[in-house]
Amino acid sequence: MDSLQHIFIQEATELLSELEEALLAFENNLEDRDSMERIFRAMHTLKGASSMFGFTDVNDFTHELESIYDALREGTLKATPGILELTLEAVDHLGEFIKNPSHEDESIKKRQKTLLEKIKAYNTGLTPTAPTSIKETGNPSLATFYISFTPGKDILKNGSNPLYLLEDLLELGKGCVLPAFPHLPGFDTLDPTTCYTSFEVLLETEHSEADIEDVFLFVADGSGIKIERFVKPVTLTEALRQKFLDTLPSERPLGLEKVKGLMEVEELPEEGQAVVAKNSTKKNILPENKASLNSIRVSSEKLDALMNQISELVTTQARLSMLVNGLEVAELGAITESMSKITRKLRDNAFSICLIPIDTLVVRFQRLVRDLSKELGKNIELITEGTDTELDKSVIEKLSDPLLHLMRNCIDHGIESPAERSRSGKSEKGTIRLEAYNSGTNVIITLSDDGAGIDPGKIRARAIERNIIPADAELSEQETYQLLFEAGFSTAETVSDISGRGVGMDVVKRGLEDLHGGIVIQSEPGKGTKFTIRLPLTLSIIDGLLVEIGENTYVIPLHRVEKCYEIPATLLTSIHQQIVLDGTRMPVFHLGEALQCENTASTLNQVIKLEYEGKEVGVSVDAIIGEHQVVLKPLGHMYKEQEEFSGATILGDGTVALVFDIDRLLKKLISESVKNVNYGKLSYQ
Amino acid sequence: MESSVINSQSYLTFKLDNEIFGSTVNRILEIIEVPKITKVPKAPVYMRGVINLRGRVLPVIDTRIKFGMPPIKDTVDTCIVVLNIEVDGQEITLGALVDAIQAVLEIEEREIQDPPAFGSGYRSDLLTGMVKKQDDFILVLDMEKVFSSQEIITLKESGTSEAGPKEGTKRTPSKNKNQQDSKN
Repeated sequence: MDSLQHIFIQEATELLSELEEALLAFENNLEDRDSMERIFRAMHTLKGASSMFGFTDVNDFTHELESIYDALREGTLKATPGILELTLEAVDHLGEFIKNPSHEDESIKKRQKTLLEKIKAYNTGLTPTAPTSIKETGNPSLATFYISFTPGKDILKNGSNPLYLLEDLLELGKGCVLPAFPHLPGFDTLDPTTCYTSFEVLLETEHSEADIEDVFLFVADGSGIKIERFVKPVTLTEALRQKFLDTLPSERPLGLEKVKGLMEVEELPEEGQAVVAKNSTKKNILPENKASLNSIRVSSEKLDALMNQISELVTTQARLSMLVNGLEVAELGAITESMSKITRKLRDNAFSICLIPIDTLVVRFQRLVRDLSKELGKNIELITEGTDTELDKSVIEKLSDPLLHLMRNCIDHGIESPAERSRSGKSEKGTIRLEAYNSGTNVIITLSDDGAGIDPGKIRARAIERNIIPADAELSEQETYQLLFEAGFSTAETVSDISGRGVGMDVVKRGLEDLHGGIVIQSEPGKGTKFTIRLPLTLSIIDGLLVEIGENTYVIPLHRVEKCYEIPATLLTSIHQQIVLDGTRMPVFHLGEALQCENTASTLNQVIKLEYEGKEVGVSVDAIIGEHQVVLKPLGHMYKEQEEFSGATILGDGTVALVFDIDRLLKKLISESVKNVNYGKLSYQ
Repeated sequence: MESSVINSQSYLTFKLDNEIFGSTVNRILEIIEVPKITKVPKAPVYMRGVINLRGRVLPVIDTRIKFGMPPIKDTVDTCIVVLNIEVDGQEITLGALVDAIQAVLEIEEREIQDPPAFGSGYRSDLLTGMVKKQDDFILVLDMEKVFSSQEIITLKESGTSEAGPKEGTKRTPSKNKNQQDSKN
């Protein structure tokens, strides 16, 4: 039961986010039939799933909601922002409700009740104004459908029997089936395993359209299914049935128009239009269903297991290649080479499976912008670009909170109120842009607003006031902005409910650091603020630079390396010093000493220039070995204190090399050197 | 006869310094030779480093240092016992470096004596019992307790014993050595 519940919760959460997305699209255009249909469909599926898994509360609740949208669909109710607001609220409620199915929380119960009453008010409000909608809002009573089913030619070869489908269909209600064979070839060319027959079904049923669609759920691509609902139910009298059955096989398929013609007596002419209108929206169903059949859902544990095994394969392959290189057996070499090619392809493939587009997060952002701006009385538009950029799923999961927080800051502190904006000559509508793009093995996400910007002077004053920096600290602009990420820092004059509690920005930074990413702020007072987030494409396999320090080999993530220099060892005299490279002075840390490794007596040292919080910092190593594809493995619980390392990797010869977490390493080195020397003079210059 | 079969369990015995220790085999995954160990800088001294165990990165603990015994150079007999223990609700696998593996013994439950509450010179909370086999005394360790602690522990009871000194510092081994000698 627990696992079933789990499945339901997973499915329902997906449906709810789909619902939310559709609702937001619907808000932009209240006349949009497409999104109306999408909303209805999602609600309907949710209703079905909840009753199937025994969530009767959810079932009842969605049923009422669905009724509203059914009425909207049928045009008996007009869409208003009020309805939309209520629906969004209801969707949120359902989200919480599903996550907390034991309903122990009294407040949830209470809200369920008030929401239900509100929804019911809409539904009962329908009845007097639009008497025809009674059947729509209540349990759908009898309705008549025209179903055209053209099985794909290969349907019999696939093991499906169209006759069973028709039988299932007729079980739903009363109806008649009209077979047609418009494309029947001559006897000599007839292939008995090909299906030439198509069917038209007239069905009078109490079931909904979705139930009919369900009958065809497992029909493979290539079959044509068209379901039309007559606006007014037509009773299939015996006489009418006979009328249809009397049509000549050569006249078939009759087509919707002809069927309607035959029914004319019963049907009012003006309703034909409604059928046509629905016709256009219904067409969407088929391609969408097809798309969903082309993808399967796989649990993330299975994906993780796959990735782990592939990581091992990559490592083993590297060892094999190394071994074979020493053997000089031509044939073996060739095989190994092709093996390594396949391994690489396999790795890239498996890798791409785990990538999901940032799109999946956007709905939540849109919702946040919409809700918050309304609450704060601001007019804000969210523009997204490049959200098809893909990131590893584990990165996406952990990215959501930091991004949401930044966005909250943009809305709350960044964008000014409409009055303020027009005073400073900007358009009343504020804009927040979310852009994402690939840059090497990194993904860059920028979040910018055209709001008030951040005043570096204010940050400085606040930081001094809070004792985060001494009063005489000399900071560059970027360093000043980085102060925003210090714990306990907030420049908002009034602490609002939304942001500015002094927790958050530091959490954002820590969250991004956990992903081995970084963040840089650019801001111009009066013009706006831009956050630039840099993230590695994936956490599990990275390109690294192999370096030697002391006796051991270490890996520096290649995406952080900007340049390498060779300097005489005599230049390095202590753990930390300033060295002029390429005409710029930069702090250089002697890693061998910092890590307390035995020093090798080499006359040359390599300095690797890294980027850290927008600054250039160098680290010195004994030697650079080269590039290496690194499969990152956790160091585990026992080494959780060793933050300088994000993990370890296994090299071609089977030994283990530690992988640096550059941000944490430099942070530690800088803070250690600051302890010795006065802040602001040494590490920041 | 039958009852003794039911009540016996397998124990792996190994040597550390001059003592013989035992541990139930159900937490032990395998015993391997010592491969090249990669040291992790700035880690506590008893953390010898990490090794590659068939594609997994496995932390290795120098059990001698962990127990406050004087460190020695690895010999041909030095082995790594790969264990699975639970720390803070998390299953972790680690390697424990021991001087030599002795044997796997079937020990009947009734052979195991309770660890003496006091006076034996050993910290009774880390031992599950003692067994006398021929001339040897086997100290049965509670591996979970021993390796889940973040500190250097001293098996021997001494005036200042309860917990070992702070992580990363080495306990002066001479004192323990003396006590051991006096015991033997």
